Amino acid sequence: MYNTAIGYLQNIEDAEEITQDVFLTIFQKADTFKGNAKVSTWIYRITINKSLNQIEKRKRRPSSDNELQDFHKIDFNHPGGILENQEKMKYLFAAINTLAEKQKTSFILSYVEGLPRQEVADILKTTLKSVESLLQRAKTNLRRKLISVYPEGITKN
Amino acid sequence: MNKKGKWVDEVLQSLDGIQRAEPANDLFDKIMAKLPEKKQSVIIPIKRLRWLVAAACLVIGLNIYVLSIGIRSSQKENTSESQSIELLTDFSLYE
Repeated sequence: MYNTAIGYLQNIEDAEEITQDVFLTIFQKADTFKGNAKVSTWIYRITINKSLNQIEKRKRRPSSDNELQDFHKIDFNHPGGILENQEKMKYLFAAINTLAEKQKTSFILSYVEGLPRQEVADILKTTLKSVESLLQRAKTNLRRKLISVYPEGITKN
Repeated sequence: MNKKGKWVDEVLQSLDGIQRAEPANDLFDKIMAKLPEKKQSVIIPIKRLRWLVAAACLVIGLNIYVLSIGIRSSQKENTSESQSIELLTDFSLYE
């Protein structure tokens, strides 16, 4: 839950808050779980919905230019990243932030959570083919965003 | 491949080898503090309910049986009374 939340929110305090909310929801709504999916699938869905709602709340906060604010906030250090990849990961997470919801979810679940494609499809209540298509579009869009913010003064390391 | 394209590829591959983020040690305590105390609900097992139903049926059945005996015995009394009246009539000495 925490790892998924942090992939969406890119903020430790927000991810902790979402994790607590998810536990509370599971506690309160356990008897509504119908058993027509895996428990982990159900928990992932709750986590994703709460994370996306939190992102929406952030967007509603007054700011001069939300998109610019979101994209240029290239400062998130994922706690699980390899040290030598940290700088590049900051750009990647900033770009992930600009993806449409379904593309974002497919990408985070596949590459940050490392889930198999079929499990991602089950969570999204869609087909495997649809997930593959979402991932393809996500990568295309990420590539486009990254090219637009390529740091010109970068030196090879 | 130009420098830009190569850089983009490297950024896209920067998730390789990523580990799961671990929460702070006190997160579990924070979660437990938020969970409400759940009242212990008494659950009556179905086996015990079956016995209760069986016992109730037995009691009702016995009551019906006793009532039916009571009705039959009162019917017999009426019959023997009427018979005894007939006997008396047969044996009346004074007409």
